[in-house]
Amino acid sequence: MPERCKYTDTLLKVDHVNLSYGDKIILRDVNAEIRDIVRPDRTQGQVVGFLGPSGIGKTQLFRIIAGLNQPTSGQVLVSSTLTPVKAGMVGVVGQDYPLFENRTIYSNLLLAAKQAKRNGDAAEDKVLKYLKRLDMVDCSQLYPAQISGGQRQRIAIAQQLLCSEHFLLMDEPFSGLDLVMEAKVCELINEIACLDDLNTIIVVTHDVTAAATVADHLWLMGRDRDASGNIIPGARIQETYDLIERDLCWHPDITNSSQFLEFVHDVKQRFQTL
Amino acid sequence: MIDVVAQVPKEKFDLARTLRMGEWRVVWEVIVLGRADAAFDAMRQNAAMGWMMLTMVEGISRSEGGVGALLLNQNKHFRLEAVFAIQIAILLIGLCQDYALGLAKEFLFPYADLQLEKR
Repeated sequence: MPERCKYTDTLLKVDHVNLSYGDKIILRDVNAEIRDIVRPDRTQGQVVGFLGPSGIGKTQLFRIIAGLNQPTSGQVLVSSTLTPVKAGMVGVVGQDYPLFENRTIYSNLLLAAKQAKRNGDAAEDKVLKYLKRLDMVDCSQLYPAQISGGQRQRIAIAQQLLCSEHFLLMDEPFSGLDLVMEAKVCELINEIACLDDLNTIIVVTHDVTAAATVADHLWLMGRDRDASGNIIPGARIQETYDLIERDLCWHPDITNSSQFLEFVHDVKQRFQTL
Repeated sequence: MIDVVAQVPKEKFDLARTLRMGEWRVVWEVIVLGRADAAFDAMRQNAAMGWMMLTMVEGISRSEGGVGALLLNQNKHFRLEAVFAIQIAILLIGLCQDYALGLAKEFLFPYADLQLEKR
């Protein structure tokens, strides 16, 4: 492995997950695992880019991992104790960055901190810490409708991290963003990942380049085909790419390297066959 | 009012659930607190309609008296100046009532109209 790091405990495990609605098979035997990455002398969380064509079942798996939906069979286990997931254990940041519009930014964050069973003072301290880190102390008494899209995204992420502690699922965070904003979002994701060794972020997207830029692993979801090329119903994770092993992550200018561009090209080629 | 509740987007329920809220807490946070401004708006519209209907209802049951009965009595005796005066009074009271409810809404739900052009 080019960068000196090692994998330790399993932090999240998708274990033989199947999902059907009546006769319609959505997910078929989905298996995946995220392990704790330990880098010497550095705080390093995990970022997984979850790729797949539209309508393949990414959102369904996303909801199962978040504990919002139950699979037909199989389970999702989280944290180092591998506990079956329940809603609230994994933070979810939706595409529109939902917040409680009737609460101020501070109140939104405080609510999340209190939901994580912190007492009043501890919750307030934690909220202030996040507001300072996000450089949003001045906006704390504003309502969500009064802040910009970028600020809203940061608050939505902070709110989920305050409650779920380490796991975060992000649904299409790059959707509709220009290149500058996309780079900023990548920066933000990396920043969050580096806050704690156990921070684990799954970025659901169909933007291959952005996912490869931000992630240390990529999951590629798709459907199998039979011998005559017909699609077999039910998607599963077809490929897992380890970008650490390929020396394609944690380098500031990685996106300009020919190796990276070649990798993205290969993934895109594979993407088209799914 | 049912429509106010029916229009709550699914994302709000998901948000509440991902914040470890139980079912009753979800109802309180998302439906009661989250839609209170819209429910107040519905009440404000109903109050406006109620005021408009008042004259008609009082006109139907004249024995109870009231401004509707007064209006119809004046109309019966062809006292048009009194009819117009009553109508203007009804209009002004209705406008004042709506304005007062609008102020109450701004005070109680300051976040409600933040995304509107008028802000």
